[in-house]
Amino acid sequence: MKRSIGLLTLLLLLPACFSTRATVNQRLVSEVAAQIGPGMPAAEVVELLGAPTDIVQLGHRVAYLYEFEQSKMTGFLVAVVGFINTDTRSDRVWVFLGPGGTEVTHVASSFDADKARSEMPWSELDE
Amino acid sequence: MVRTGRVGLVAAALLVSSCVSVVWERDRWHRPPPSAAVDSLDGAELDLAVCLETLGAPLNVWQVAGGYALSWAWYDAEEVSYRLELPLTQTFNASLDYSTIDRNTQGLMLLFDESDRLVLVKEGFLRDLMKEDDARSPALPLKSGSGA
Repeated sequence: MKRSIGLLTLLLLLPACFSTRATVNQRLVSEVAAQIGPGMPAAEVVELLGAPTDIVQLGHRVAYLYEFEQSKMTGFLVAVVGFINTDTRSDRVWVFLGPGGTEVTHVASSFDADKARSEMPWSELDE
Repeated sequence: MVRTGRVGLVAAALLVSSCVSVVWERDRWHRPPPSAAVDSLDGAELDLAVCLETLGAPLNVWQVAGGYALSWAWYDAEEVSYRLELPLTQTFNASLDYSTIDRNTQGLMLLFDESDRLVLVKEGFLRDLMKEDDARSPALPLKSGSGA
């Protein structure tokens, strides 16, 4: 009887655990982004990183955004109680181009997508 | 008799689980920039290069009159939802939804003039910052009155 109850409990719990990972856009390579610097022609930026995720017009200037986002969702649902946690982080590279949008003036990059974690709601995630 | 009772208990548990649920959900979206980095922007003559070096890549960049704005945003939202659903007939359900929601996206906004000089630093709820930004157009604040 104990074995049956154990098996029944296991069957009730097993389908209730899940862990998923969702991404948006292609992963960015930090070594490639590091090659971009002031003075680089816009065409070379596009050659290295491809088509930007977004282009923002800033008066006579232009900024390119390259972004990769990663979300990790973890859940535990048992009978009437559920715990679900979602953590979303991203890699971003902003390339600011000068007047006419021909040459890089500033670059900023942050690589945090891999810091997204699969945890429970009560976990503290900050590194 | 005991066995019938156990089977009944399991059946009741399965039935109840389809009618009642309590879910604790947490959603974390990005992280705030380090407070020490934000504090270092205060009261200094800074340009775009220094700000990007200090804070990293912003989430958003957009044009404002006489310059442009950069923003960083994040939230840590927790929600406990209770759901009770009572099937009264085959075609009618009575349900009650109750949830406590605390989801407010916070943000840091930096305003720069056309010469890439930082003219304003604002922190708070992102929706308020965006509203202020709309109200500020078409002119950027003077450097002397800035919070930077």
